[in-house]
Amino acid sequence: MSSIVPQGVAASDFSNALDEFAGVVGKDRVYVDEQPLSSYRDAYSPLADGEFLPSAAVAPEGVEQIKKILKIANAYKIPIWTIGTGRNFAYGGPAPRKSGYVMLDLRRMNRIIEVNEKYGYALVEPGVSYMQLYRHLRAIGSKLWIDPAAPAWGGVMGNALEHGAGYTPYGDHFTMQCGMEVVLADGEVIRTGQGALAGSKHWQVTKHAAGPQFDGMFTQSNFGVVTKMGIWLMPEPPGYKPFMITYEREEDLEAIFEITRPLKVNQIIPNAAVAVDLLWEVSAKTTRRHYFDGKGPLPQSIRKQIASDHKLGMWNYYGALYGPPPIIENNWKIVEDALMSIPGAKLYLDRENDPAWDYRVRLMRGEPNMTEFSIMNWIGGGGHVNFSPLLAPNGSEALAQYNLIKSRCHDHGFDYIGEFLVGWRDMHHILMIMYDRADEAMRKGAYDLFGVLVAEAAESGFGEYRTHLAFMDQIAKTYKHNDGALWDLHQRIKDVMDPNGILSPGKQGIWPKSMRTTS
Amino acid sequence: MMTWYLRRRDVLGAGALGTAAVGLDTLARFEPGRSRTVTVVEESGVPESRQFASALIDSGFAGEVIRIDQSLNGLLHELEATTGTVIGMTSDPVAMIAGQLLGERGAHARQFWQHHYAGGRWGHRTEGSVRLIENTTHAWPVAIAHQLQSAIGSRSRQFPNACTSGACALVVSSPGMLVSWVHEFEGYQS
Repeated sequence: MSSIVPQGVAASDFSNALDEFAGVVGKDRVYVDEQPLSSYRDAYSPLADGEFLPSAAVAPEGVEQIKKILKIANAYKIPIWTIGTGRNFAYGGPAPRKSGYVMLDLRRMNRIIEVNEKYGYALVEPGVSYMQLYRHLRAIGSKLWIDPAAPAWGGVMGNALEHGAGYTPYGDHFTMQCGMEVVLADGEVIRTGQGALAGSKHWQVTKHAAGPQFDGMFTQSNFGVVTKMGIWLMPEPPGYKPFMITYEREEDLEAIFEITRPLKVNQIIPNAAVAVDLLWEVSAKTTRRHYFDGKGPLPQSIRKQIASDHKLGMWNYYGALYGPPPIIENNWKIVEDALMSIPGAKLYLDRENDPAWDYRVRLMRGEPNMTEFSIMNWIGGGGHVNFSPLLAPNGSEALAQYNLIKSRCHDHGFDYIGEFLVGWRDMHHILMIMYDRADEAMRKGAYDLFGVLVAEAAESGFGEYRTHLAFMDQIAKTYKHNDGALWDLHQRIKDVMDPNGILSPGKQGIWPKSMRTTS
Repeated sequence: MMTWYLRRRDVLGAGALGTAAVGLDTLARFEPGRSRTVTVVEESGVPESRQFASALIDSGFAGEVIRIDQSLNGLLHELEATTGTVIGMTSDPVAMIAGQLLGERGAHARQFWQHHYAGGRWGHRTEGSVRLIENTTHAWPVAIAHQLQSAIGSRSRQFPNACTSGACALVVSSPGMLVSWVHEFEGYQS
């Protein structure tokens, strides 16, 4: 049995709470031993071993059990940490924000409650993965696509709640969610939007209802336990044309996004087009040790060799067109003329024996896969943490941010490995800091680099859209407008909705009153 | 009684039959138990993983094989139904995914040995005798397969060791950092 007890909770109270949890879900669904609890670790943690370990886990099968669990947690003031599928790797995986929390593991709640072919949506529970939904749609003969995040085992609901992104035209997952059911800390169950209307048939077809919209409040937060969520699904288009264009120079990034902005804003390119740097792109095909055995960032001469060997650019741009073939061909002329106007650009409409091309093409047509994990072979040892600042779809801004981040990576002895995804009016920049988990100095270097990047990005006006557990507090503090008024609001809401502070304390830097001085 | 079967191509691939064969007749033998199910996970794009899996299949130690292609999707589909002992020599990401999925289903992590290529040599961190592994050149995954099956059920101190043979190269399709691992479900400990 784990020797960890939640902070501030007497051992006898904790023991009583576990007994009562067992009374709700059954003894075999309350986990206290090392083996089951080991699966709640962050396999890629940038912290030393022994951080962020749970004391126990409880796995309910439905809303009624969750209500009872929350009642017990309130009675004993037990902090609980909610996970859906627990696959948020690079951002902490299933691990809790602090050691000692009890995991509220919702993986048993994995029902696909409804698929609506006519209106194009699904209603799912927290434990439904992308692969599960994809297989279900294929099994029932649906003509709807999903929009998966890169790893197929990720949760449909969890990724949307974390503001995750995909690669089809439905790539902004929070935008594509429609209607939630939420259990509040006091056990009350609410439904958002039209779901609040008894007997409504429009819960998943419109986000709008009388009164304020609360859906966003339950994303990247700790104000409730989301137990059902609607997600819009894209009807299979009659045509699909993926493409890749390689660009020779790092400085081409500026022109790439000056050209992309009007194409994206006007929906000529409807999906989340992405510019992938050389090393991210090649890491699905080879490893660093095949080219360089030294420490520090790769020399430029080797980067050029890699680009030549694998027919890649310093930037590798993926996008796709969708719809009736005549429309695709019409829009393709516009896209090709624009994006191929950059000197040295090379166009690919197919690439043989290229796993990177294969997985991107699959993702852009809504086929989940696990290939992206292969890129962790670049360094080996699997460690990675993602630094994810936002910016506008603006070429000079993208280049400035790239140069800043690349420079700091090199200062700390790391390669820049990243990509830019363009959304409706924004861009997500994902820097993957890779390290060998067995190399303590490298792991520590990755941690230090991340902290520096957060601070310097904020000084330059760039905030992150999502982050690893270890950096939630630091990033929360970068949102400084009016002396941090927004996070003050979050915490005021937290104190009202969850006065005992039981729900995921510290999630996104939102701490309950009782833990603010000790966090 | 099965004998450890070092396939001809493993040895010839190493280019040094005598070196590769050092000590083979002294290796422990495994007699499959009637109730044991052993499944080996092969990452088909990784040559060392194929060698390792072949050794376990050819020897009769592993009765089932799960072959994973570059999409890695097979991990999600095929590990769902495994029981008994699940074993593999894979890239680190595959080891992590498999460990996560099997651990969630109640499997216990038994062995986790590491192999990485640096400075023009393969280096290993393993339990048991290091001598064979040091001298097997390209057939080292076969030696690891045998050593690992002997080690299941006990855990001893790990030792670092490096290839000392003349030929120690990294093939193009190898990730250059691999993990050999064992997970067991309750009731199947050796």
